[in-house]
Amino acid sequence: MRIAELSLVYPEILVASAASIILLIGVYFKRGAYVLSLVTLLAAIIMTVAKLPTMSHTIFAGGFVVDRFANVMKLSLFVLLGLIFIYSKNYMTMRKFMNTEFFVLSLFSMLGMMILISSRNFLSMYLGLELLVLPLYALIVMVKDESKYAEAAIKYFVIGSMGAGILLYGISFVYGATGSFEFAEVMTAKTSPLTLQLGLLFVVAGIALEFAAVPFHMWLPDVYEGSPTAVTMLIGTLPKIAVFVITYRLLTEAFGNLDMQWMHLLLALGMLSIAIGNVLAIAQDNIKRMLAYSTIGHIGFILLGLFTAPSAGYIATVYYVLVYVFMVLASFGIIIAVSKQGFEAEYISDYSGLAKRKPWLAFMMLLVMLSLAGVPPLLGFYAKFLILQNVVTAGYPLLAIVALVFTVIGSFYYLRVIKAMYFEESSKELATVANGSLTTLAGLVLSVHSMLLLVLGLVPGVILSLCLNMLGG
Amino acid sequence: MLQYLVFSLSLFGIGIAGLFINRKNIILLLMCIELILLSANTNFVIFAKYWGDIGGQAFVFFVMTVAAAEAAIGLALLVLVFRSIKSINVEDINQLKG
Repeated sequence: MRIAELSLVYPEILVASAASIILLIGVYFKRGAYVLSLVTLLAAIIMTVAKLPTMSHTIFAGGFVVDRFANVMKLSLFVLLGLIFIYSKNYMTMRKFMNTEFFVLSLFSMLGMMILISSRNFLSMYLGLELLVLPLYALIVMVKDESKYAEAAIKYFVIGSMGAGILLYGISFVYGATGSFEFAEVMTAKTSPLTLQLGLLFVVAGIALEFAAVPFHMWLPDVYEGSPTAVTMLIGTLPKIAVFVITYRLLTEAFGNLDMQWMHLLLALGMLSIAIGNVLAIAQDNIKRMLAYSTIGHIGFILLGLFTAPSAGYIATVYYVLVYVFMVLASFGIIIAVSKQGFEAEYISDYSGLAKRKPWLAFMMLLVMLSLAGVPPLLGFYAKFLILQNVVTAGYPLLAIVALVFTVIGSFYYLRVIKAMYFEESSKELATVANGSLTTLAGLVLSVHSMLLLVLGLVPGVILSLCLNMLGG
Repeated sequence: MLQYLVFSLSLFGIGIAGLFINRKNIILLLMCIELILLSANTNFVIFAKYWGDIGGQAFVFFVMTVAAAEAAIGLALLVLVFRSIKSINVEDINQLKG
């Protein structure tokens, strides 16, 4: 490996060293971490945009790939993490939670995602995945005053570690079948198919556990509900992108020859997730829990997109993941905006009469909920449309109908939030809640963010051409 | 080679079964997670021997390092759980459901 190759991993080196430096500085200046983290993310964005690779480079003895797809995905991670920091600043200050560790752990977790996104062998994939989840366990319990945080963390820890263990066991069988950890060599190796399929089965199960696809979904609602909203916002967004990218790489680069096997696994997981996620979300009173089940439904759509991908291409799924994460981040931003100290705005009833108290926030929530439900002309509609179109063109119109029916069932719980906001009166206690957990900057950013759901929905070509560009390049 | 694979499979089975059947305490859950990782490690060593490839054995060191970090976080969480609900019984961890 030449020294010049190191320039390809400058963003990773930057994030790793910046996180360590922030940790050191934070011992003396408690206030500096927020600004420093944002500066770090900005520098990472500039660095990545300036050196967007036109072709794929594989470095570190085949373990690390830098291509256009990886770098655009990393860019989206930087932008989204920046948004999360901006939204959660006041939330954390109010709860005496505004400490260095939140930023350092988030940055380290993002570093894990960057490694995961760029991994091209099983070793860097495993290490990236562990670096992704280990800081998240610690983040959940940073606010010590509530016992549900500890419970959510231990549940996430046990299930997450089990997922990693199952994945690892699968990797060991893939290694046994092929004698190599490189994705490319796994693809071309002459193998004993049975061992490789066994490995594939465990790997897909491990991935499904990290994705929280049904039947491996039980941890997700508990973790969403039991984490501070700022941390839920992190867990609910960035890891989805990273896990999706590694799934894409595994399926195309390592198991490209076994597509008949994994397609049907993904189909089963996907349809179950769409059905169970959307149906169970109806029964929830807690909005974070409801969003967790809605996440499971959306994961189902992503898996359905991956199922049709070998024939119809990956564009629709990449688009769906980016759009979904963008939408759900806005919804958590609004939950934070409504909450204040001692009032988490966790229950749907907390939103009743919001349109009278805070018309602008209510309108933004309306946009986000409709977009998540997939109502045209919002951003979420086109994402769902593309996936369903792929399913139909791949020759499964019946599946598309079933998915559509469950989406319609699913729109019920999004509409319930809207009904609470616009058609219900707020109770006396709620009316006196002066909400506003956002800084002026965050309020402004959140407004632009929500408006983008509408604007980008009217011109879906913008993100779509970005997806086309990065998969083609 | 087969008997070694059966050995690692039974380690894996004990680990998974322990996670699901165990209703007693969180420390047992941590031990079961370690068992799962160990079974994967055993597999790696067996296959490394089979292929005459050093890569599998190198992988084991990384897994062991990560497992140590994981155990540290797991035990820290255990302490937190005990502080907040004064119990490490799995059945007592039941605030979140639905």
